[in-house]
Amino acid sequence: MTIPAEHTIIDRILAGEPSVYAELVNKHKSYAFTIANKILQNRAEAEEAAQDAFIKAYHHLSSFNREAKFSTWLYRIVFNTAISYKRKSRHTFQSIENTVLEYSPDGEGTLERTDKRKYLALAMARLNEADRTALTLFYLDEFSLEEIAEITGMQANTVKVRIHRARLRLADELKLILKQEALTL
Amino acid sequence: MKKISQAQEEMLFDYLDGTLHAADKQRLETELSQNRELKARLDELQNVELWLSKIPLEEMPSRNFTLHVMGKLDQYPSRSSTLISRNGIFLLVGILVAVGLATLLVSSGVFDGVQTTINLNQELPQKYIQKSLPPIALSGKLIVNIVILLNLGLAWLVLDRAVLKPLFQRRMHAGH
Repeated sequence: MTIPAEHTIIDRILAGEPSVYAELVNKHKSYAFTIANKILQNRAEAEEAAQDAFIKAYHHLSSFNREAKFSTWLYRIVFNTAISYKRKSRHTFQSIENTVLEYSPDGEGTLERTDKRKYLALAMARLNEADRTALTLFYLDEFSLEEIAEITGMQANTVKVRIHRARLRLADELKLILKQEALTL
Repeated sequence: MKKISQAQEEMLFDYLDGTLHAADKQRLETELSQNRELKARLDELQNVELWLSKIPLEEMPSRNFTLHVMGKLDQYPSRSSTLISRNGIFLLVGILVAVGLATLLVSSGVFDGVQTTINLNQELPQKYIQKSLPPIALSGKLIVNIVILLNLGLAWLVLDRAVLKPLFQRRMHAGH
């Protein structure tokens, strides 16, 4: 969906056609959920936070400044909603061993990929939520540093440094996890 | 073992991201061939890079995500504001009950006999004060009345934040 197409949808919603909002939800739900889950590390809460963010965005659609990308504006709402859920959540600790991992059976190499995914999830769970989110947005390959800065409310330079630090930390965590894993074998 | 400097690490990232200038790239490659620690660090970072770029980071929400959002569009979010106003109402009721009880006790004369005076001359050593200070009389009734007044102020604040403001906001959104 192109940016003008998104703007047309927004115009239709504002003109009193709320049902077309489903198209925007469908397009952005996976990234919105990914961002919320990276912050909350809990699928159920992430789902609720992402849904809340979509509803907030719907109610504030008239204030969306069309000079920015709709996705950047929306993901900033998702980021802030998830952060506020995190602050309010009584669920302060989730064992990283309980991290939900989706199994996708797709033939050859699945086990290796699933393992890598598990280790990556474990290592990422040890980063703080801002680093984890910045890193994820960077590797989702869709956002520039400036857009990540806008979503997370940080300076672009800070985002760059955070991503660098997060990669170093991730490398150290992975080294540690893989060493532990080798020792238990 | 040589310690890798922050500048070297920054250079490794720029090298991995392909944003390093040609001259710097050549200088780094020469350094990599001579510095085993730096090369090992690059290998680790390359490994992370490979994992992050190969493993899909995008996660899918539940199948009926869109359905849930569309079903809740009429409700103004969020659970947090509901919680805040519900807690606020409880707080308001609590304050009003406390104020009511205190007023009842004051009007029945429970605090009429509670009188005390604070004599500062006894509390402070003579060498620090030149003149003797007058004693301060305190009546229980006065103190409870001040507490009631403060509570009424607090109740008004809670009423504004927890009931009136959300109510007007909801009306505003309903009007759009």
